[in-house]
Amino acid sequence: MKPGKNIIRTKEIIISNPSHKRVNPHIHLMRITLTNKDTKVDFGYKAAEYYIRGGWIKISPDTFIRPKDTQQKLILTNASNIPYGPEKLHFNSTIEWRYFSLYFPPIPDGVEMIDLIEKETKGIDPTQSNFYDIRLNEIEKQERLI
Amino acid sequence: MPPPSEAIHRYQIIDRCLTNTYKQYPTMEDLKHAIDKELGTDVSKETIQKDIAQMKKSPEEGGYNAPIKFRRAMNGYYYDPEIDPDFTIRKFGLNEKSLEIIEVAAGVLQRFKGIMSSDSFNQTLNHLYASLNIERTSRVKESSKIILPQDTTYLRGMENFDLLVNAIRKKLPVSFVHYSYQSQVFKANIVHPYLLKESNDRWYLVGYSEEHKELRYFGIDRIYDPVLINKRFVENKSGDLQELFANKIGLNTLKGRDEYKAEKIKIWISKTLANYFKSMPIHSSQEISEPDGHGDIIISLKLVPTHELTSLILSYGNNAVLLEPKWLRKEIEKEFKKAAAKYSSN
Repeated sequence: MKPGKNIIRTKEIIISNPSHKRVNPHIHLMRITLTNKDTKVDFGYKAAEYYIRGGWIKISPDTFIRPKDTQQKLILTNASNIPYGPEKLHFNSTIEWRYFSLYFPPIPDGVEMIDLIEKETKGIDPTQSNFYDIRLNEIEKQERLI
Repeated sequence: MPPPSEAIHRYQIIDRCLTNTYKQYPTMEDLKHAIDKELGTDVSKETIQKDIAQMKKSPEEGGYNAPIKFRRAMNGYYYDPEIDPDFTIRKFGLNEKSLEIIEVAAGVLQRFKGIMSSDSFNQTLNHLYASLNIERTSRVKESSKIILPQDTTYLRGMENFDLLVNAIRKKLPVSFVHYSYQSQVFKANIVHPYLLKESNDRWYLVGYSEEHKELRYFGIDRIYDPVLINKRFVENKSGDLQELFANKIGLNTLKGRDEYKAEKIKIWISKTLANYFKSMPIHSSQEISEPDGHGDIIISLKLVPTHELTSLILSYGNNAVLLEPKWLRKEIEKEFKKAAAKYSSN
């Protein structure tokens, strides 16, 4: 199936705290909303203690979702509350945080697991916001009221 | 003095009879029949005549200036169309005095301005004024000069207030992402909401948390992106929430203390602040004793110990000293020592 096309969902689905593997300890993948229109992924970011004034965040416009074990790429279509790189959002202190959302094309119905990749790396690179084996077939799927 | 509500009911029935275009010129018997049928009474004709006389009086006298006439040829009553072709007392649902009171209440509600709930209220008021052909703008300006509530609408999360109110009303679970200031942790959660509670100008959502599997409070400034979900609602099984909050100042029970158990609290208050505590008790359980007669007082309360209570005591510095319970006194003493150390070092 061509990614992002011919998606027929009768309901908007919310998946809270989906299980996954991550490489960046500061970014938390919180929630995924699956609709016919798009895929919304919500994140929480806690500023890093080891950076002066908490450092900064940005998201690469090349970030994509990949249904597991495929070569399909659903490229980022929109970002809310986080700038596209190279622009950066600088924190003022290490106690700050940011809630942000990324939007991708709709995921074909039936896909059970995805990766969310900011940048493909060889081995583990903790500076990248890469998430692997994100499960979409959890029991705790909820139907959103529109 | 306004007419009793029973009389107002009769006026409304008489008004409906007089504006019924399918049966014009209702007789006295028709009016009596309509009133008796609707109110289940046996009203006398004298009472109806008095009602008609009262309706004809001016609003200052508690009436409606109703142009009620009697047409002998039809043996029935009618509103004189030459005086007002569209007359009905429904236009007088509220009198000038009532509007003044509502405007003052609307002034208090200004603290919610920008929130849809209060917008609906404003719209309703606008419709009401329009139906009475009264210009509202000048009245709003007058009210806003005399009522100045604390403005909390700029607080983060207030934009979700209306959604949360709807969720509570319709018993719909809410999915949201929450950030805890204390543990500095994000969590996606589903909460079955029961009420919104204000404490120290902050609003909290109170409900059953699926994450914690118990009743929890969530500051709405820490709630991100709430959405309603289609899921069976978990009813409150944690007892009477009004009662739960009745024994507290604030919401956040101190760690290790029983959420439902009020404890005896005794606070010494200096004479500098005594009158403030006398005139405005900090809680309904407050009792005052004046042991030495020199102005200092001791207030006794029955409260669940909360962070907000501790903060309140600390805020009065050396003018308020917690006497009981001893364990909390020690905690407060530690806080003051830490504060004094910081003042000494900086």
